Amino acid sequence: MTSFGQACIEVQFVTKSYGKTVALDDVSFTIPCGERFALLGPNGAGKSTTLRLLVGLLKPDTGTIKINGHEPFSPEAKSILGYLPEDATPYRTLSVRENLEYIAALRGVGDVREATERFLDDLSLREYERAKVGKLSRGNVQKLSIALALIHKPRIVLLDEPLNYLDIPTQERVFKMLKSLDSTQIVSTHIMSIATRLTEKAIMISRGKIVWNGTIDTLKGLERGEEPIESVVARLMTNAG
Amino acid sequence: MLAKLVRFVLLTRFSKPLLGVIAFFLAYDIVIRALTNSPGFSTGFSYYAVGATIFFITVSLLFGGLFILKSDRDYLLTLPLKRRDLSISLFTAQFVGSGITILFLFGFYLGGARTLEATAVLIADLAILAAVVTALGVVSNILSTWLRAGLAVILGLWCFSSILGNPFTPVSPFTGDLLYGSIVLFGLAVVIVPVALRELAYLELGSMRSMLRATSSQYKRTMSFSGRSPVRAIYSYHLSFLELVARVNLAGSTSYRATRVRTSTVLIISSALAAVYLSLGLSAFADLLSTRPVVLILPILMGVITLVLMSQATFSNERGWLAFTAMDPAVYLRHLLLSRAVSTLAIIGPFGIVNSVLAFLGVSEGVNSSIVLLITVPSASILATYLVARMGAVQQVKEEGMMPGQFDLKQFLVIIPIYIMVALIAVSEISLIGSIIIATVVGILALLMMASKSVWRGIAYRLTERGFV
Repeated sequence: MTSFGQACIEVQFVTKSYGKTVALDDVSFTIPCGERFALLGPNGAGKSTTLRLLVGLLKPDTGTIKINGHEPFSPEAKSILGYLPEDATPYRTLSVRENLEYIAALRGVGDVREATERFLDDLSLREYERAKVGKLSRGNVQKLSIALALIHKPRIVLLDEPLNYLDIPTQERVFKMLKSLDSTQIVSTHIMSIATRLTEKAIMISRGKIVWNGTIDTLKGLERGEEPIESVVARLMTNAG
Repeated sequence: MLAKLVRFVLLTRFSKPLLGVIAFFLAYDIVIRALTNSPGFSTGFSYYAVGATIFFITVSLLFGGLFILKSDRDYLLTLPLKRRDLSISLFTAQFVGSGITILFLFGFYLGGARTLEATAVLIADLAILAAVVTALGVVSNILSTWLRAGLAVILGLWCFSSILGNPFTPVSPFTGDLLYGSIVLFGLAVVIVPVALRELAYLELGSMRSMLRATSSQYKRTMSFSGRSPVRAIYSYHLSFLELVARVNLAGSTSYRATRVRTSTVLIISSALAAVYLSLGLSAFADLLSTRPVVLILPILMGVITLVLMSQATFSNERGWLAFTAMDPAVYLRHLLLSRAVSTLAIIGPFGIVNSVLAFLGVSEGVNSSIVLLITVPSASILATYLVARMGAVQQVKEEGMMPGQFDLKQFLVIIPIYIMVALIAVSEISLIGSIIIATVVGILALLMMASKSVWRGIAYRLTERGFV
């Protein structure tokens, strides 16, 4: 068990390159348990790479990552991590229900049927439960993907643009769902309204380096006059570049 | 405008190095054929021609895909282009991607022609056959699965009848009946190629419309994973259904349909076909059919299909963000590959068993064939899947019916190690000792590879780095 304030995610001096392209350059940060962070940055800044490293899909070239004290690829870390990539696609030949049951079974969820029924109702997927995922609309695919990321009640949730493609009522439902989770969260997004509603703190990455780390309130405090928060973020990213 | 469009369409689908290599090999092929002494048409050539033609027709009809990118749907097809230009450009891309393989694999038939006129006719026949195979791949997109399968069976039997002496088949130009065969082949092209060209000219009204159709298709029967352990869940998924996914043609045709077929259905069909094969082998018809060459060639054809399909399709529909984050990728991939290898036996297993029966009844080649089908091919499919993933030559398919991206040289070259395995299968067919040694070595290699966790973790990282999430 972890207690509030203890570090759930520790990233120390991590570097990751793809060939000659440096995606992350000597990045370090810590996320205490129970806190919610936004991961901000321009396109190609290294946000998705950061999330993939945290979830153990990639291995850092140098540096260390600990998830609740464990290596990201360890069974202990996998059991508490929930991950939603950007433009996620579930198994296209399976139906909605089959996807939910399959992933719940892979994750060793105790009551697969109960978890499946809950998400079918919570995300209004009931009418599509037998539908082939390859034929679903993008919005319904996104709803299913969110359900798949959360089906095992993860204690650490990593989400990459979770509200993409969702209609406004569903966005509100997902907001409520994420807010109600008793978990540590990192939400990568370009949309500041999502960051401000879902998180209290932010890490800003640009060109593979952390350029700012602090609370959303501090970020708002950097506004000049009537300047919106988006302009503050843009300024910080531009100055860093 | 047409030339520019053809260039644009080709370069957005194939990398320049890939096009360069295709052009080089084609030129090399032609020069070598021209300089080679004429071997004439032999029985062996005829079997090869019939087998290979049936293979290409079947693959094109069953798995034929369109060389269409997502950006075509969003941009190219919305431009005010002449339909004729669009159609020719897209057909050219289809031809380079799939039909051109015919020219590589059939080129040596030019050596069978005795005169200059016959050579010219054979060159034309090769081009027409390649165009027919290309067109069938396009036409398959507007046909239902059962219609595609039915047409494949009819065309396959038609080609097969040339072995029984029918000179009026599309493959007859390559079995010695140049005149009648050429007329039939030309006639077939006149029917099929215009249909394909029209389909490509009005894609947004045909194939694309069916791809974009928003209606959800519902499964009548679904699987349940409730109460299953993680490993049992993997086996119940992959042993219940065979998925038709991904690139299948040798030179890079892509076919992605989110289609699944019940393994039990496949097993019933392949068992029925194997029973027919056995009864033919036991009947007086066997002499006419020349069972022994069929016993020899069948495992090679099945090996090619299985290795190419398995190696490309295993990972194309895999979802790293779900599977690799739910459990150790090494454990997941190990069970995935094993379940795939076992489900492959639903297709080839009955033929392996029938070959054992034939061997018991005195057809000595049956022993080799059953060893190949029951041990070598499933084991080699694991090695081929590893090789394809290790070389980074597999693409994750995310869009219905769309090419997952540009095809590059790596995806072309990966066929080489796979064909080394096919060559080993061919050697196994010739020598019993060879087949035992090869099956043992390939089987042990596959087992050792499956046992190594670091190998499969490395594959998972590599796939993620290449954009598999």
